[in-house]
Amino acid sequence: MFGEDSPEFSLRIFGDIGMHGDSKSDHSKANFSFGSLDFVISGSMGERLTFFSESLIEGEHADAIFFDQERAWVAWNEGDSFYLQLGMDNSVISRWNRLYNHGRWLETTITRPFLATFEDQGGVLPMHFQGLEIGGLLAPAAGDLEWVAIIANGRGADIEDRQRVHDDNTSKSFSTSLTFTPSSMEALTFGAAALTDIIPADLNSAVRNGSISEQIYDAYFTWLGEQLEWIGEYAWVIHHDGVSGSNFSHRLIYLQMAMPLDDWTPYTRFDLKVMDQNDPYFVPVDQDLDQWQQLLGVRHELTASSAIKLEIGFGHGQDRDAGGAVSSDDFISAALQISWTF
Amino acid sequence: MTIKLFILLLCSLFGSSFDKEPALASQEQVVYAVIVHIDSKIDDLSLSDLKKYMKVDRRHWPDKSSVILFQRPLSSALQKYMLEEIYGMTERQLRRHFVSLMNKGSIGAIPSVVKEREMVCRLVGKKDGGLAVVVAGDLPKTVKALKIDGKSPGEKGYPLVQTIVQDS
Repeated sequence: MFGEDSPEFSLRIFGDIGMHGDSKSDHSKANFSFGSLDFVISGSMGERLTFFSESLIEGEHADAIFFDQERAWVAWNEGDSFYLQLGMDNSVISRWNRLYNHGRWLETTITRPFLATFEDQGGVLPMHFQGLEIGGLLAPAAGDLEWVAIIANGRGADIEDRQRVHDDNTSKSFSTSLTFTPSSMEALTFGAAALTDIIPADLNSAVRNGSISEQIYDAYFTWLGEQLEWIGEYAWVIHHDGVSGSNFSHRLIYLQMAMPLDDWTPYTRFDLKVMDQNDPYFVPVDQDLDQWQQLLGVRHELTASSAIKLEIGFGHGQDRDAGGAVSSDDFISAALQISWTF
Repeated sequence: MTIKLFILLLCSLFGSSFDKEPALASQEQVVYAVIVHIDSKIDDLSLSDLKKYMKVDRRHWPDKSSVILFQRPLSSALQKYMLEEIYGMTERQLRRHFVSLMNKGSIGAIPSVVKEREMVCRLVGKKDGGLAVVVAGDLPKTVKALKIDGKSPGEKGYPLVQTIVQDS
C-alpha cells in the first residue's frame, strides 16, 4: 500500500554518568551525579521527507531530574543542494553546538566550552531555536560549501526561555552560517555565522522593561586528522539595552587540541570569556562575569561505543556576592564521566 | 693448524651468511573497484568526490536519489586501505563521524558492514543508490565499476591500488 514511501525509523541513545568536583561550588566538593539520557529518533518517508526528535532526561541542581524536548523537526530535501526544515533544532551560532548537540559520547571532553554552554546551564549564546531553516551544499571544485539560513522566534525575556511554543514579541531572529571544507585539505573545515535578534522586555523587572537588540558573530575551524584534532571558535556578542541606552560587548573564545593514540586520547583546552559587566540580560544569572580556564584530560575508549573520560580544570573567574560586589578568585575542578551510545 | 681450520670454519659460516642475498619481500598489488547499481547514471567520479560519498558527506547522487553505502569489515585489508587513503581517519574517528551524522538527522543509520564480496555485490545490485568498494575482478551483471579520475580499474594511473608487501 505504501510502496516506496514505507516509513523507516531509527533510535539512537546517548547516556552519561559520572563524578565532579569544583572548588567554587557551594555544595560538596566531590559529587556523584546522573548525567543524561538522550533519545534520538530519526524517521524517513521516502527519499525526500525526514522526521527527527531528540528527548533528553537530564540531572540538574541537587536532586532534580528533568525531561526536555530538545529538538523536533520535519525536513524536505531536494538532494544535497537544498533542504527546508521546520521545527526546533540547535542554532548555528556555535560550531560545537551543531557538531555535538547533546551527544556526550561524541564530545572528546566532559565539559563544553563557555561559548557552547546551554542556556539553562549558564550559557551566553542561544543554543536552540524554534523556526524555519533552509540550507544546502554547494560543491565547486575548490571544496564543499554548506550554507544555512534560519528565521526563528528568538530569545525570550528570560535567558532560559527558548520560546518553543510562542513568540513574546513581533520581531523574529535571523541567523546564517557558511562552512567550507577545501578539497585539497579535507581534514580542515572553517566557517562563520551571524545572528540578529530583539530580546523582548521583561515587564517584571525595572531594569529590563525594554527590549535589547542582539547581534552575534562567530568564526570557527576544525581540523580532524589521524594524529591531531583541533577545534577553535570565537564569538562576539553585542547588546544594545533599550532601557539604559548602553552598549555591551562580550567576547568568548576557546581552542581545543586532542591527540588520538589508539584507544587513548589526551586533550587540552583553553577557554576564555571577557564580558562587559552589568549587561541586564546576563546579570540575573551572573553570566556577565569574566572567566578563563585551562582543561587537561584524557579519554579512553572502553569499547567501540563507550568511553571513560577524566578531566581537570584550573582557572580564574569573577564572582558576584549577594550584595552585588564582584571579586575574582582561582578555582580548580575535576570530573570523571562514562559515556555511551547505542 | 687447528686454529687455522677453526678460523676457516668461522669464516665459512659468516662468509656464507654475508654471501647470501637478503630475502626479498614479495609485493602484491591489489586493485579496488568502486561499484554501483548497473542502472546508475554515474560512470565516473573524481577521487575527491568519491571520498565525500564514502564519508556520506554527500548523501545524494546528482539525480537526488539517496546514497546507500555498504562498508567492509574493519579486519579486511580493503577497509584498512580505505581508512588510510580514502577516509583519512582512524576507525574510531570514522565511527564517530557516522554517529554524528545520525545525531544531526543527516542519516538514519550507520552504513551496514558486509563481509563477503559476493554479498556486497548482490546488495549493491538490488539498491538503486548502492555504493561499495570491492577487490576488482569479475562483477555480476547487476553492478558496474566506476572510473575514478577518468581511469578504469587496472588502467595505468587508476588511484585505488594497494601495494601489499609480504615477506618471502
